[in-house]
Amino acid sequence: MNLVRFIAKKIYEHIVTTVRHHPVTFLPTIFIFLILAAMPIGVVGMLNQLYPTLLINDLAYPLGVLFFSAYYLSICLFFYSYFVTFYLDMWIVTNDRLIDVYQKNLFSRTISELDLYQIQDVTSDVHGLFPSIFNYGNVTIQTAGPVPKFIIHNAHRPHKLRQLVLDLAAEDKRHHNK
Amino acid sequence: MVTIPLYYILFAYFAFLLIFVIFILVNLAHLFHTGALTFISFAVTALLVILTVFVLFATYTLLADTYWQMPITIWDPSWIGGSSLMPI
Repeated sequence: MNLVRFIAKKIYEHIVTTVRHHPVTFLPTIFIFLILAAMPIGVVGMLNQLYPTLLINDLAYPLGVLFFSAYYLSICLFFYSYFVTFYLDMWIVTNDRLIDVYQKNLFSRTISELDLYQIQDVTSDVHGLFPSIFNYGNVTIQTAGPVPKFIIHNAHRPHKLRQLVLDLAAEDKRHHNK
Repeated sequence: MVTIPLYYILFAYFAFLLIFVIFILVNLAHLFHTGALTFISFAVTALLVILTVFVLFATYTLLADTYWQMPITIWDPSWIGGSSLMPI
């Protein structure tokens, strides 16, 4: 399935852009998983020091290998699941609406959307050292619709995105006023 | 005394592998369903496959010479009472 079918695109509609979290915001997760991956090395080294015969024991050795194998596969699985959750948490901007796909975890997803002509105000903000260096931040959209506020978190080039949303909203308002 | 052969532990490991595969398939289904089949998602999936194959291959290599029929004692009354109630 592609994105067009996923959002049930209307005939006159086209996808302008897809916004995801900035890749830099995924780096802390990579760092945590690297630490988790390095931990068994320390544990094995410590066990070697404390119990030198343990790891050559006929029973402990295969059990240990299976345990660490399962541990590393679990890390891979959690990393991949976290990436998928991170990657699928996105915003789709079309020339008619803004669709927020909120992927909370692997089995929890909320999709909400607002018509662009309902947009009243758009704010973009970049706070902090890393957001300033890598140019990412939040874009807050105030609406007159049932969902009063949309926040696009950690978007790349938030000021440019704000301008894009404002332009599209103005164009959609003109279309609706005809 | 209750003993089981060492290969019983492998069944638990295979059960874990089954759960692992199911979760990976759920993740892939999410990527496919949401139309997120991009280069980045492909690259991370490829990395996952490479790491998984590496871990499984390393596990297989490290356990190649293991004697799987070796009995493991999972229950011995002497662990509680101090002496075995049932003679071997």
